[in-house]
Amino acid sequence: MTAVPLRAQRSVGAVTAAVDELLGRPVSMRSLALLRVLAGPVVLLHLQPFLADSLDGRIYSDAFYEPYAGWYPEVPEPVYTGFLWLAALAAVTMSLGLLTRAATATTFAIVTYNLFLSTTHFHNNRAYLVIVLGLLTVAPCGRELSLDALRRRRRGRPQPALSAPAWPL
Amino acid sequence: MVVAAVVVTQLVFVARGYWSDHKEFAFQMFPESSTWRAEVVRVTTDGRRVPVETPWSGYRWEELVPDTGLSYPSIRRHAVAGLDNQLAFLESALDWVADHTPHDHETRYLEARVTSWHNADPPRVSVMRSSVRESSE
Repeated sequence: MTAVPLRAQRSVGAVTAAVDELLGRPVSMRSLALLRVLAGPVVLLHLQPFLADSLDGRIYSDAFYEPYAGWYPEVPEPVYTGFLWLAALAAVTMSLGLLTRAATATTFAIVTYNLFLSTTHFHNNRAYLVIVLGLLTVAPCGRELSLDALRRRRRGRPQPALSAPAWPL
Repeated sequence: MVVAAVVVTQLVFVARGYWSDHKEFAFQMFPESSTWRAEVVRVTTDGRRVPVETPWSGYRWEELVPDTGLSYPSIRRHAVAGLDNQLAFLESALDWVADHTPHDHETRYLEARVTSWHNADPPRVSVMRSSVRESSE
């Protein structure tokens, strides 16, 4: 191997190491915890028209809609309506920080499923909401500003670290 | 690795936005200023052209197509997420309405005469038709 490719390989390695160090550096997750608290009401606002329709016995397939793909699963109306209300409940518990990881994952899964049911459901603000929920699902954002943290404190259990790798941010 | 995958995926979506009608995740800082309007009619088996603003066989256009900016097509309005996106929705909506109005036995197909203004360009007129309805044949 000649000197030039070797030097290039080393500099690429140095850049990769620097990026790894930057993204892996432990930082406070408080901002994501606050985002989690605020995301719940946003999810409720997002679901409100779907929930209102469900109370009138209407769902997306009663009006013009366009599936992205024929293979995408469409559940029966009662199950779909149940999913929507489960997502609303999960959004509330996500904000409160009760069973935070499960609540956030449930909210993310149902909101994402609903978004991709039809091309007509897609708006950029909803896409951004899905991205935020995905981020909150993978980040440890329930360790503070949450009922989970309060319960843990009251039971005298050890508090987990409040910082985590920075990459979700 | 996860961060790199997310960045690459986002770049793919941005690139896809240049040729896809619906531009999911292809966020654009400044949207098109395009506008459009359409005269949507039902062409009946006896050749009449009836505007969809008039309810028919128990159906109302704005109830069948309540979203995506298509409820009142005769009013000139902004093309949400660009003209390609909006007109693709209109084309699909014509087919959907043609296929989901089983009580209507007189409509042969739906037709939209679309006038569109792409940004500040001069207006362009195009015609879209739904598939011919089986129940009318």
